[in-house]
This record gives sequence, C-alpha cells and structure tokens, in this order.
Amino acid sequence: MIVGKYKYVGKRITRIDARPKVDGSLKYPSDLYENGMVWGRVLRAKYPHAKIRSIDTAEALRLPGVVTVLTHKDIRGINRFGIERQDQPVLAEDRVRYVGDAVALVGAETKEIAEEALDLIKVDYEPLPLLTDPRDALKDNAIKLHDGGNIVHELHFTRGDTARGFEGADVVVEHTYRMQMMDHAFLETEAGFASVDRDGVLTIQSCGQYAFRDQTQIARALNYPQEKIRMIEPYTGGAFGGKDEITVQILLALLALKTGRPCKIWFSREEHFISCTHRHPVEIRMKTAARKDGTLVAHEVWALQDGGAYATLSGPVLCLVVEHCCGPYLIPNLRVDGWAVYTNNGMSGAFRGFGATQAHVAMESQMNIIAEKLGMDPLQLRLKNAIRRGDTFGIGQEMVLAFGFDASLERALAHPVWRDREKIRRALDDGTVKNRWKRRGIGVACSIQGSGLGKGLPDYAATTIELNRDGTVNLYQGTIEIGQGSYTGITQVAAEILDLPMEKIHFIGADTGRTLDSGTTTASRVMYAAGQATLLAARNFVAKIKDVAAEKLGVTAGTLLNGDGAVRTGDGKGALTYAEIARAAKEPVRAEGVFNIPVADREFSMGLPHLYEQNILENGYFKNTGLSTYIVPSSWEAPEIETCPVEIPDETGPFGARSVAEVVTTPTAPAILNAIYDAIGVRFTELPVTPEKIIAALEKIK
Amino acid sequence: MKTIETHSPRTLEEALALLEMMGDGIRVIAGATDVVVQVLERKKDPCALLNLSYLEELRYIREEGDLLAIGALTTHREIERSPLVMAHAPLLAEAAFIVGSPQIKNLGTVGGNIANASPVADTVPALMVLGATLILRSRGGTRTVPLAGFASGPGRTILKPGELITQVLFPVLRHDEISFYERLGQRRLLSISKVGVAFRARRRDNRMTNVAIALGAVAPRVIMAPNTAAFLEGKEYAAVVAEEAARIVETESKAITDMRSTDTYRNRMAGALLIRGMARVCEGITGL
Ligand SMILES: Cc1cc2nc3c(=O)[nH]c(=O)nc-3n(C[C@H](O)[C@H](O)[C@H](O)COP(=O)(O)OP(=O)(O)OC[C@H]3O[C@@H](n4cnc5c(N)ncnc54)[C@H](O)[C@@H]3O)c2cc1C
Repeated sequence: MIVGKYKYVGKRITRIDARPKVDGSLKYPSDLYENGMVWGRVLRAKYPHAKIRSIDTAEALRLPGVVTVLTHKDIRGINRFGIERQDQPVLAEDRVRYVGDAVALVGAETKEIAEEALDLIKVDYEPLPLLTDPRDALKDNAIKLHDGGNIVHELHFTRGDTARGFEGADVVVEHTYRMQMMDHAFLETEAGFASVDRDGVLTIQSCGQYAFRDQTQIARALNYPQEKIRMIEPYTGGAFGGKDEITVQILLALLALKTGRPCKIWFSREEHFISCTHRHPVEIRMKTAARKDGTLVAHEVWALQDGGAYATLSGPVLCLVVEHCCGPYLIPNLRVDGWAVYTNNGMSGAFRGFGATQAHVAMESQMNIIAEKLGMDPLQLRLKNAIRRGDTFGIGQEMVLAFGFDASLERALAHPVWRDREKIRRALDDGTVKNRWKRRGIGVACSIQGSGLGKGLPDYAATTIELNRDGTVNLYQGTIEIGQGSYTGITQVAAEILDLPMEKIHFIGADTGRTLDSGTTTASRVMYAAGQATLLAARNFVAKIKDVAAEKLGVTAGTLLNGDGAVRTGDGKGALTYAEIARAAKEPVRAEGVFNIPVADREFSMGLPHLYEQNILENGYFKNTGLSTYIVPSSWEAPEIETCPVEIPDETGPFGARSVAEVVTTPTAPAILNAIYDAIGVRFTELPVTPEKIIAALEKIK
Repeated sequence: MKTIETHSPRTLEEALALLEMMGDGIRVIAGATDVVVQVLERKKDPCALLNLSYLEELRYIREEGDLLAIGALTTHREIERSPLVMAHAPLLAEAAFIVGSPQIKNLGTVGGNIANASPVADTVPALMVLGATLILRSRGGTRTVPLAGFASGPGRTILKPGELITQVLFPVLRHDEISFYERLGQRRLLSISKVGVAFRARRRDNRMTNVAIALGAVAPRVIMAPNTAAFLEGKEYAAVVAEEAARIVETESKAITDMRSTDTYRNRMAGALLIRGMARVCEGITGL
C-alpha cells in the first residue's frame, strides 16, 4: 500500500469505537441487564466421563426465586451443536464426556439464587473409565467416547519417496515436539442476553464470532424456526477463536423460550476455563533431511492432536497443522500422517494461529537444528528453500499471488541484530556484576499463514451502504468487532471511496436482522474479505448517487465526480451534496458489495509470545481455573518490538491490504526456542518453557 | 452465596468489644483482599464480618524516637509511597510496591498481610529482617510480640480470640545500613511470590555486620536464614562472597513443588536473588 496516496486508508486514525468504549456507553454482551430478567446458570458435569442415570430437579425447583430448571428433556430439537459435526449436547442426556458438559440449566430471579439451586440438583452418575492419553485413543481396544470411535479426523499425504530422500541426504534430524493446551483468556467471559416477543421472535444479543451460523445452530438444536431468531453480536470482549463455537447462545434461547422473560447468562471465569474450547495440545514428530548445500530433500511428519470431548473445529485445525507442516519451504519428498482424536481432556477448538502455530514450532525448530548440523546460517538455509510465487508447496498449496517471503529473509539477513549477532551475544561477557549471571541468545523463525478459510471452502463477504437524508451513510457489515479494530478499518475503506469523513459513516455491525451474511470473524479474513466487500459496495454506492445527481443536474453520470460529501459536474458549476441527493432520489439509495475470496495462502511477519501459559489437567479435571493460577503475560513481559514491514501489495485485498492477525503470532514461540538454544545450548521441544524447566535443564548439563 | 452480616465499627474500642462479644462467630476483615478470595474459593460463608476499614486511628506511619510505627490498617499503597518508609526502611517500600496491583495495594493492609500468615506475604520477610514487633490489643489488654514468632504455620498465628493487630513497630535503618527485598513471581507484577529474599546489614570498616536474611515462599512460613547471615558476618562484599552465600542460602531454603513452581527452582532462586540484591545494594558502595 502506498502511504500518502490516500486520505483515510493507511492513516493513523482514532478507532471509531474508542470513545464509546472508554466512556462506557458501548455495551458489551455482559453489560446488558433489564428489570425482571431471569439469570441463567449452568450445572456442569461432576466427572470427566460418566453415565447419567437420572437427574432430579425437584428440590432445586422448590427453592424460592427459582423460575425454572431445564434438562435435555425440555429440548425439542436435536439437542446437538458443533460447527463441523453436531456431536455436543446442549444439555447432556445419558452421558458426560468432559467436566464442562452442561447437565442442567437453572433460571432464577437472581444470580445467587441460581447458583444456590445448582447445588440442589441431584444427578446420579456412574463414573466411567477415562481416556486421557491421546495415544490410547488410537488403540483398537480403547474405550469409545463416541459411536463413531475416537478419531475426529485423520489426514494422510505423500509426495515423492521419503525413504529414498533420506537415503541420499547428508543430515537427517528427528525430534518430537509437544505443544500444550492453552486458554484464550479474553477479558470478557462468555455472555449474552435474550428476549422473546409476542410473536415468538427471539432476539439474542451475545458474544460470538459468526452471528449467522449461531442462528442456524440454535434453530437446529432447538428445532425453532430460523427466521424467528435474530442474532445481534457486533461487539465482543475478545475472542481469539474461543467464541467461534457456540457458548451461551443456545442456552439463552432455550431459557427465553421456556420462561418468556428476558434472560441473561454470563459464564464465570472458572466455568469458562472448564467448559470452553482451548488451543489443541499437539504432539508432532518430524524427521527432516537435507543435503550439504542446505537443500531440503525429505520430510516425514506424524501429528497427534488431542481434541478433547467434542469435535468442534478439530478437523479443520488438523488440516492446518498438516498444511503448515513444511513451513514456507519447498520439500520434494513428503509424508504426513495426522490424527485428531477425542479424549476426556476438556475440549479444544479454534485458537488464533489455528494449528499453524503448533506446526511452526516443530518445523522452525527443525530448521535451526539442521542449520547447526550443516554449519549454515539458519536464515540462509531458509532462503535456500524458500517458496516463491508460482511454487506449489506443502500438501499442494499454490502460491498464485505476490508475497514477500524471500524479500523478508533478505531484510532480516541485513538487519543489524542478525548481522552483528555474535557481538550482541558476547556483549554480556563484560565481567561486570550486572551481567555476570546473564546469557543472551538470538533466534529466528518464519511462518506462513493464509487470509481466509482456505482452498475449497466458500468464503465471501457482503456489505451494504445506505444514504440517509442528512447526507450521512449507514454501513451494514455482518462481521464482528472482537477488539481487532476491523470496524475502523472497514470504515476507512468506505470513507476513502465515498470521500466522506469517518464520523459521517454510521457502522451497523453483525445483526442477522439488518446486515448481510459476511462469513466468520476468524481465519485472518475480516479486513481482507469484508474490507474488499465494502470497497465494492462503496463503488456501487457512488455509481448510484451519480445516477441520481446526473438526472437532477441534467448531465450524464460519467461526467460527474464525487468528493467531500458531494457530487460535482466536471466544470464545477453544478453540485449536489449527499443530503440533497438523498432528498432528490425517488427511492432509498442503497448499494451492496459482495466479495468472494479467490485464493488463499501467503504472508510472513512476526509478533508476541505464548511461552508462559498452560491449562493443567489431571485425570480430566482442570487444575488452574482462575487467572491467578493460569498466568497470562502482561504488558510488563512484552519485549520491545521493532517491526520492519516488507510491503508487497496483495492484488486481491482492499487497497492492497492483507490480513496479519494470525501470522504475526506463529513464529514467535519457535524464534524464542531457537534463541534459548543459542543462549544456553539446551534445545526445548516442549511448550511452555518455564524458568523452572530451564533451571532443571541447566542442572542436568552441569 | 448468601448475604453476610457486616459490622463496621468507627472506633477501636467498639471493634474490640464486638470481637469479644461475637467470639468465633465473627471474622475480621481489613481490606478483605485475602478474605474475599477465601470465601469465594472455598465457598465457606462466615456468619458475620467485622470490618475494620473505618478505623482511621489504625492508619498511620510515624516516627517514635528511633522506631517507625505503622498502624495495622495502613495500606500497601500508603507504605510504598511514604517518604518515612523510603528513608528509613527502603526494603519495606520495595516489598509493598511489588504487592498485587494498584487496586489491591489501595485495599490491602499491612495488618492483613501479616495476620493472613501466608508464607508468600511480601511485606513479612522485609519486616522480619527489620526486627519488627507487633502490638496486639484485646479488651483484656495489650501485648507486644516479635513478628518472627507470630505465624505458626500457613494461616495459623498466635493471635488469641478477641485480639487484633494494631501496630507494627521496628527500629529505623541507620545511614550505614543497606537493605533490599527481591522476589520472583510467575510474571513481573500481579503475581504471587515464588520466592522472596529480604536482606539487611550494617557496613562497618568495609565489612558487613549485623546481617539478617529472611526468605519468603520457601517454607510453611516466612523463615530466617541464620547460617547464611553468619557466613556473611564480617565479610567484605565481592562477587565470590555473594556466590558462596547463595550456595548456603539454597540449603536453608526448604521449598516445595506446587502449581506455581518447583522446589529446585525456588531453592536455587533464593540464592540467585541474594546475589542479585547484594550486587544491587553493595556494588558501588565504597569499601563494600
Ligand atoms: C489479586 C491479588 C493479588 C495479590 N497479590 C499479593 C502480592 O503480590 N503479595 C502479597 O503479599 N499479597 C498479595 N495478595 C494478598 C493480599 O492482598 C495481602 O495479603 C493483603 O495485605 C491482605 O490485607 P487485607 O487488609 O486485604 O486483609 P484481609 O483480607 O482483610 O484479611 C486477611 C486476614 O487477616 C486478618 N486480619 C486483617 N486485619 C487484621 C488485624 N488488624 N488484626 C487481626 N487480624 C487481621 C483477617 O481476619 C484475615 O484472616 C493479593 C491478593 C489478591 C486478591
């Protein structure tokens, strides 16, 4: 993108939601209350795996202030949800498969009464044997968590002949990497508010990442007409993939339908930790071979992904593990075998990075190990094998569009931190007391990640722009502002084309009753797809207002120019403001733009670490279910970051923009692993890397 | 959770009277930053609460001759910012600084930190090397006890029914005294201590004397490290001296492994923090 060429795009602009977020006037889903509303609380499973013999709600119902106690018997639909495969019960029937399974739903006059009622529900359980080791899940004699067995998804791919590749190689390195389960730890735990009107129309304001899919999931689970469900989900207090799957939505719908009253559900932090999706723990074994000159010749990958109790997005995450298992490198002989399995270990699903994170930890470690064996500069090794435009790599992804991988590598090679890394490392050996006990290492890692859902999946976005009588416009966009700033970015695109100040554009976000389906707010796709749809909508809109103006001014539309909230004739003699056009138009001026994502897969950048956190499970129970024991790094832990953008415009993105939401997070962990090795000579293959692990490792080599 | 009856007396006399009357049926709260968490986590509902937070008379920091006296209701924020504390007990200001977050520091009190008797309490190691004593009051009278013997185990103290801590008292550090509090948590701020080291010593003729070292989070309660202190007694500061002291302190540290850390790490870091702190306060001081 050429900065300076545009009025709004590429400029530092105050976020459109900055003021209302700071002054509190913007309402997040958890901010919604109404007099006379019913508080919903969920009874979670007592065991990670058990049969339910019976549920007795009588005593809970007798507690004053309890409005209703619902179980699976109150659900008329399939009582199942799941983005990919509907295998998770809204309310458990005869079995629970993880500690987060919802068993009953209480509605009460206050949160406290609802909480108290939970203790009065009597569930008769018969604990069942546990499946907690994903390796066991693959065994024939394993207990089966679902009728179809324990495998959610498996993928096998071969190209060329890896055995021959290994034979002819000069170095072969083989390691097993283990990535931990992690929590999204967003600020706002899952929350929503529902009401139902006299005609049975349900309105649900909730957190989420895709209002239209949530609407479908509710309709299907409860067997309720989809057109009678309106989802409003514009602002969510953080998500990172963790609100992609259903959380509160179906429960809210159920409670509102059963009570006929406004209802609120807001998960506690502990409830969030145990019931919601996490980043997948993945074990990846890689055997990688190279020739003396650094050419990668063969690569074998074995990946086992622990999906926990239900499918949610385990399949697609596995696809991305597999797609990214070669990193951004060309390797002629490849064999990949991957499995995603069910266990009783919580539940894992979408998480920023979506499988690519885990794959890169392994691959980027392999690259450095190979470089060391060959005595090669690890960046040169990467450059040697780097994919370029026109290449087909990985499991067949084609690099159709322009991207800047080799340019980025060249840039890194020339960077002083890399060029002078020996000197920087040794700078601490100055004998001063301050530095006496310190070691420094310099690490590098790369990553590749696409914008959009990926090849073969329909991926589109749509924007509507409508002219108001006062000359302002309404912009309707169905994606969600989860904190990433995309509503501002999208408004900038519209402002640029309409040549209208940002504040004259009213943004109406995700609302199935008002906005068009624009796909998910995931997969680094929003700025790219919704941005492009908005660009098209804005162009269509400008064409429409020119038509209206042309008729009124008695000229041809082609001679008109738009700018500064008005349309003018070429000679500047005739002009109509947007407000005048709105009044002159015979029908409301409204334009749509629809954008279909053509191809995916490109990009490279860098970002922040995730080396601290881990959900600790013991026999299917979560051990750290609060933010005082699940430690999220704070801004104090964030290092100084210098970004050196290599700007190669994306021909298909709005104003050449490309999405960076995920790709910036993927290379950080392996870069730090490589830096730790550089500093102390210990190679960590398991995340997280805590100071405790470093001390233990150093004690061993002493 | 049910509503809990709360009493908020305006004077100490009133508070002590209530405490005597209600006996075991009432739980004292000051900033309530520990108690609220305990109530929420263990779902244990105390029948009634005695809220001390209106007792302005117990909120002060003042010099009494060679002593610094701090009222039990004084918050960490007040301690961290107090010019008196910064001048006369800088390590206590360091300890108060590291407690939780601004919100927690504005509520949490030094009396609560001590009475909670947690081995991870940050102000306690600092107060221990300062040789602090506590003034305990009840309707029956007043007694003065050394802080060192106050906690008998995690959450257990020698406080008798009807007694409150009203004051913490310690001799001010002299101009020739050096001190520090160093600690590690799972992140830099807003985290519970994994290990903490408090240190004070007098410089006399290029040497360290009157050395006192206390360790937090490495035993069921905050402990002193007498062997390390004895080793340092009379020594000149040097990197090798600090390293040897570290090796000794590692043997005095009796840490356990839990969700936050491991025994090895904690014991080793007790040594590392001693080195870090000594390097900080000794380096550059002439003769030491
Ligand atoms: C998010 C968070 C972070 C924290 N971080 C830290 C940290 O970094 N370091 C640290 O040391 N602590 C930390 N704490 C713990 C806590 O804030 C401190 O221990 C604080 O000093 C407690 O003081 P309080 O006044 O809030 O005590 P309260 O909770 O009111 O009381 C604690 C105990 O002391 C008793 N008590 C209180 N005052 C008196 C008195 N005058 N006489 C007799 N008994 C009394 C109470 O009955 C209770 O048993 C943290 C707590 C939270 C919630």
